[in-house]
Amino acid sequence: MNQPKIEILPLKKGFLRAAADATHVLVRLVAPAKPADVTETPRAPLDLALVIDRSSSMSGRPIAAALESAVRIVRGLRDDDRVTIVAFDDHIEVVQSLIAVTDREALALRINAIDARGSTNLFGGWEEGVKQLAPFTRKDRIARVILLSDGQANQGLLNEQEIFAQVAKAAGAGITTSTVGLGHGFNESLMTGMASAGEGVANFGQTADDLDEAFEEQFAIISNSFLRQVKVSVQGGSDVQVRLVGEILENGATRSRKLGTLPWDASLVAVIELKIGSLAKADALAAVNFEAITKEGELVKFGPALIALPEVDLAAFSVLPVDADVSALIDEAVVAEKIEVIEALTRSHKFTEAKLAFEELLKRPGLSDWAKQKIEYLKRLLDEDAVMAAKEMRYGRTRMMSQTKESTMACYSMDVDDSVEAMKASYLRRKRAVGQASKPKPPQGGTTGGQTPQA
Amino acid sequence: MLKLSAQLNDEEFLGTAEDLAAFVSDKLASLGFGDRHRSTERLVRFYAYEGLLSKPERAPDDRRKANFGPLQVRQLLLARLLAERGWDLDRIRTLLHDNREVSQLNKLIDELATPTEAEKLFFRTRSSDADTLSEPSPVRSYKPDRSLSPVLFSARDSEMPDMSSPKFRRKTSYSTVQQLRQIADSEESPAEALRMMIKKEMARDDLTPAARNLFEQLLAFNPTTRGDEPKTERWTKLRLAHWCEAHFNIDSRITPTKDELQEIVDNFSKALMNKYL
Repeated sequence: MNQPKIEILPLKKGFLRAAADATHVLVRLVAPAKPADVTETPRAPLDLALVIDRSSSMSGRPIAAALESAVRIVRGLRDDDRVTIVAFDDHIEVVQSLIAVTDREALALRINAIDARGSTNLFGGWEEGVKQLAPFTRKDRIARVILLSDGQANQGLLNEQEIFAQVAKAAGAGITTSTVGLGHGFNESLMTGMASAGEGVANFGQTADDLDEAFEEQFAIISNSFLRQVKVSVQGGSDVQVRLVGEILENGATRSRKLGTLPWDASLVAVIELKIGSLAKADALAAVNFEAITKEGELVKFGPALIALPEVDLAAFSVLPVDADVSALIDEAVVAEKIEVIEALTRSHKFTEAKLAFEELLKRPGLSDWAKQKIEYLKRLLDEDAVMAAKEMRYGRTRMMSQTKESTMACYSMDVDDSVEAMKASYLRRKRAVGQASKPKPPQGGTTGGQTPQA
Repeated sequence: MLKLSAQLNDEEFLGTAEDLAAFVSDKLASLGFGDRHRSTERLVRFYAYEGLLSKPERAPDDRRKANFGPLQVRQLLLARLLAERGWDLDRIRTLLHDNREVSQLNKLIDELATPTEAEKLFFRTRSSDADTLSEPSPVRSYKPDRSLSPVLFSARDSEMPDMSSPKFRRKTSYSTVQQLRQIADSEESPAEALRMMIKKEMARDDLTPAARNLFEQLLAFNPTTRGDEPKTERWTKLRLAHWCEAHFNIDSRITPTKDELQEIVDNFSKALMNKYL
């Protein structure tokens, strides 16, 4: 197989022994460009389970958005794709068992006949989606459950950790899970946790338009997947404390993290914080390892890549240049971690402290234009709707840490230009608001409307 | 390797329920699937009643005789394969209803011949590991001990409904009746099967107290439950639910005789038949 490349990019090309401040290093796993023979087939055929929450809490706008999204997805599928539709409240209904996508309008009619009622057996609905796909999983097809729900489970299996374990089990057997949070009161912890365990994507939105981009992105990643289940781990050298930056509250000083799927010609990044003691060895400050699963299902390991930096004195260290692009990416991880803290304040209804924390964050020197725009949006949303702000913070910071990046380092420090973003592959685009459409949709029409999963 | 559907060689097949059962049983055996995949005429009729098999054609020379053909061969073969892998009847029925053409069924037979990893994880399988063509599956490990089972019951627990299925909840009564009827009418299988079925029934959370009581007593009474102290209870009449009652009379005897067991089963069966069948 084509090998990915591990890049170690320190914020400064030197370190200060026993310094009070930590040293930050950016680590990238860069995928090669897609070979010519891979581009011939746009993507493997898809077996998709659309699992739609029809509980009474979904009534009104959320169910309308779920159904419209489901219809758009079905209309965008290829003839060699297959789809199953499961609706759940406290009962699980297989609206359509797995079927080839030949009569899209008949499928749309079946979807639109779903109405809201009853309570929410979310796990039962998801499990039925998995069961519909399970007998048909094959290496040459992609099997995915997309769960559209307000995530307020109150029937069946409710324990989040047990649900995550089942979702991870399905992912291990080739059925990945993505989640879409709908409405105002969905449980983002459950929905993001399921997507993380299920090696899928977590998104949320209020309307089908909001969700279009999310689905476009998700199908594009599926189509271009080079490695999946990419995981990074880091070990500190002698007298060096290391941790991955990004989730201080949830995972503490974690030294390994799931990074998700790596598409061709793209990269996944992690930021490592090193606290270098007086006895540290400059040529082996830390070691970074990656492991992943290939498209053929084979476990592969890359590394170790050693982090080695020249030791410098204070005077030399203070004048060492900083790479602006590296700095921008490191900043994203640091900002994500700060947003995690602000999210916790928001959830505790400490809105004044949360706003002050945003103000402080905006004063951070060298903040990239992208990070600034993101923070300003979140701050504004906090004033307007604290509940949605907390959700946006959760999804936004997760995305900041795990979103696929370009294979080249250029442009990260530059101002965000929406017209440039729009030209990128959907999974590389930066979005200020995760839960909203970034551009108005053209009017839908005919059977080719909606997003095209072939992308 | 030749696809499974290509090995059926059933273009000329036309036969009765008995012929169909024998044909599919032989075919599955020759393809390396174990004895537990065997079908019987009774099972064919049961599947036909349950809507798993398409209606047979009437024989031109005898309107009372039903003729099954290649379509039903595929339906029965798939049903047997999937039932043995833990699929409940509703799920099999839906699959077969969505794929009514021979060509569609051929595709399904080839695709579903071997259970996937995901299926093994998420379906209630008993023997998925053995269900491959390359490794013929062994006969189920449970073998009836006829010396311990004076009365011969029968049940295929592959046909036992999945209690978690929502559709099952709506159809419980009928499915139960079918199960018990099979058990009661069979001439060749052990009381253990009845015990297993009762245990499954007792796992339901919607049983009436009367039904639970009956099941508990039947379980205690079952002579093949090893290690349990035999129960000595006097039963005269037990009501399963508003729709069913069974008449027993064993008068405190520790071990019922073969005839008494047969009587219990007959009465039970009769009660169910009178009410529902």
